[in-house]
Amino acid sequence: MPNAPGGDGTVVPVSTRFHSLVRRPGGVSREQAIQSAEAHLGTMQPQFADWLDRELELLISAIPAGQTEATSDDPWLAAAHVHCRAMRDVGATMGFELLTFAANNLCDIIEIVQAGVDCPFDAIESQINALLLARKEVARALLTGARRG
Amino acid sequence: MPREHLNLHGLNFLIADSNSYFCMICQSILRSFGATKIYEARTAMDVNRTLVEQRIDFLLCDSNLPPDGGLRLTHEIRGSVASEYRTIPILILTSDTRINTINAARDAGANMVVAKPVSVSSLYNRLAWVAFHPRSFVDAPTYFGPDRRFKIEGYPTGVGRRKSDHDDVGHVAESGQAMGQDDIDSLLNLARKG
Repeated sequence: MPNAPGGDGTVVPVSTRFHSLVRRPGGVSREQAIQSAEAHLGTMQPQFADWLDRELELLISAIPAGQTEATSDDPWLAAAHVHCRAMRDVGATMGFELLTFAANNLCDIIEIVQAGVDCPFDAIESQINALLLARKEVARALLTGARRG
Repeated sequence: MPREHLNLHGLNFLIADSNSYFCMICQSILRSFGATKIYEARTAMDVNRTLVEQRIDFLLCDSNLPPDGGLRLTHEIRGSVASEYRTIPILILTSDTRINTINAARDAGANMVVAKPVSVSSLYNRLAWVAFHPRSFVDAPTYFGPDRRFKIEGYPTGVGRRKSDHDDVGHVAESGQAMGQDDIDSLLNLARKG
C-alpha cells in the first residue's frame, strides 16, 4: 500500500489499459514464457553472428590505426562508442558474457578518454582482441550447437 | 488466476532504443511472452510520433535514447498534464547502473528500471511486477509519477525476497559503482523500511 505523501503532493489512483488487460484470464505462464523466449533467442544465433561480424568490422574501422594520441572530442570516439555499446547491450542476452564484458571495458575506456584522460591505445587494442576472442566463442557455440548460456 | 500468468495479447508495446538489433531481441522476447503488437522507435521524436499515431500501453525506453536520453523523455511524458500517456507504465532499460542514474530514472517517473544486457527472466519479472503491483501516482509540484515510497510485499514468484530487501538503501554507497538488478529494485522501492 502506498504511504501517505508528505509535503504538497497528492496521491492519485491510476488505472491504465495495461493494468486492466494484463490480468485477463489466459495468457502465458512464467515458465512457458521464459522457455519460449530462450528458444527464440537460440534460433537467432546465426543471425547474431552475422550482426556481430558487422559491428566488429565497423568498430575496428572506426578506430584510427597507428594513432598515438587522441583528444576528448575526436569524432572516432563517438563512432566507436556506438558500436561498442551495441555489442555490450546484447552480448550476455544472447549468451555471450565475454562479449559484454570486453565491450563494457572498451566503453569505459572510451568514456574516460571523452572525459579528458589520455587515450590508452594499448588498452583499446587489448579489448579489441578480447572482442575478437569472444567472436570465436560465438562461432564455436554455433559450430557445436551449444545452447545459450 | 495465478499471478505468474501475464496476458499481453492485444496490448501495444513500444520499444525505444537506437540499437535496432537490441529492439529485435526485445521484440522476440516480448512475443514469446505473448505480446502481439510491438512498435519500435529509435529516437524521442519517433516515440512522440508513435504515441500520437498508435495507442501505446507500455513503453520500454533506453536511458540513452537520442537525442536527450530516455529519462528526459520520461520526465516530459509525466509532465504533460493534458496527455493521455501521463500515467503510461514506463520501464527504463539502462547499461548505466550507477546509483545516480537509477535515482534519476526513479525521479523522472519510471515505473521500473532493468539493467542491460537484459535477461529473459529479469524482463519477465519486472513486467510482472509492474502488472501486479500497480502504484498510485504522486502529483506534487516537483514530481509526477509512481509513488516512490511504498512498502514492498515481495515480487511475483518470490523474486526480491532477499536479505538486502530489509536493508536501509542508504547503505548503498554513492560511489558511482555499478549496481546489480536486485539493488536497482531496492532503490526503486525506496521506503521499504518505512
